[in-house]
Amino acid sequence: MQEVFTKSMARNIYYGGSAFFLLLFLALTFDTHQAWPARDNHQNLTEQVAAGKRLWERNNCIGCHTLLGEGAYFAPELGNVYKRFGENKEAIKGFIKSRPVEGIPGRRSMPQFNFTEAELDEIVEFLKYTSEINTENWPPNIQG
Amino acid sequence: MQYQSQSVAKLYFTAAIGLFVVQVLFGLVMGLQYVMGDFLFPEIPFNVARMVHTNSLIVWLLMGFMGAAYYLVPEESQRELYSPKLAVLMFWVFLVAAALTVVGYLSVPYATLAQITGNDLLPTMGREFLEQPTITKIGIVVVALAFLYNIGMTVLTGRKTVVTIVLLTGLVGLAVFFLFSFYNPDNLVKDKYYWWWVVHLWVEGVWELILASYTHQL
Repeated sequence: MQEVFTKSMARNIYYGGSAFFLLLFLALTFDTHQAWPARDNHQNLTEQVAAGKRLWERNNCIGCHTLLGEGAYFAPELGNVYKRFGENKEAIKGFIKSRPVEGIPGRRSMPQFNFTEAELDEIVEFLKYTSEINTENWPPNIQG
Repeated sequence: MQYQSQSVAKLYFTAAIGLFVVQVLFGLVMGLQYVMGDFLFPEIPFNVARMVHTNSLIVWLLMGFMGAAYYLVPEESQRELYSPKLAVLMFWVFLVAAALTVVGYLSVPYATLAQITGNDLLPTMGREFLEQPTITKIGIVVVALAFLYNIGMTVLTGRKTVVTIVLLTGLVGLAVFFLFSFYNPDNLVKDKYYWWWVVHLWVEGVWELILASYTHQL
């Protein structure tokens, strides 16, 4: 057995180790791609859902809310909001529409975005699609 | 300081400290908003304060380790920087882009910022930590590539050491992984997966490799 840890050994571990883990990571990525079709609810990804996602991004919703666990933790999780609101699209639209422009004294409030009826439908369809993604029941409770 | 070109680091460090102050200020705003829900509402809603907070963090970290690279690579490679002028130019490009982006966040609603920066052409905005307008993201790519080129040329034409080789691997990763911020599919699951490549492979994979090489140099 070699007693001394040489420079070339260190180099081999660095390059070899990096290459090994990069390949392992790519293999895991490949495996993840294989697992998606059964879980990602792509069959319900309509034009309206895609438009809803753009609307979601354009208004930086993730800057306050979380979506499937990731986001800002200032406002409620919305990955399961469709189910939380009893699968009632009108209730979600009503909530968004009713936000006061000047907020609520002393409390947090969602801004008033003045969405059109078509935009409200888009965002609701996006939230419905999101709630039907198989996330292994994340978040673990309905409150988010 | 053994080499004159090391002095470009000063610009980067100064700006990094300035941005750190911005980060802390907006962090305090957010902290207050947790306690007093209506603080600065609707002028600076929580999501706006948060963007300024996290984005200035990202930029000061980048500037801090860019400055550090410009400072230590000449000593390590035993030569002047390949192009100090490029380093100074890129500093100003980066600083102006960052400042304009912050002004954009604070002065107009986010949806308006998305519209005037042409987000519809290549939608990349509105994802956590990747809130920057697409044009700012392109700026980051330019700055990262110029940085990689400048450091790469210095390293490859100078004395090669463990430090500089590890650093170069990290810098290649820095440039490569950020490119995934331009991939924003309609499919939320794919979007979040590749979002993770930028956000987490940057911080936990690439940045830490870069910083590890610095630590070794010390």
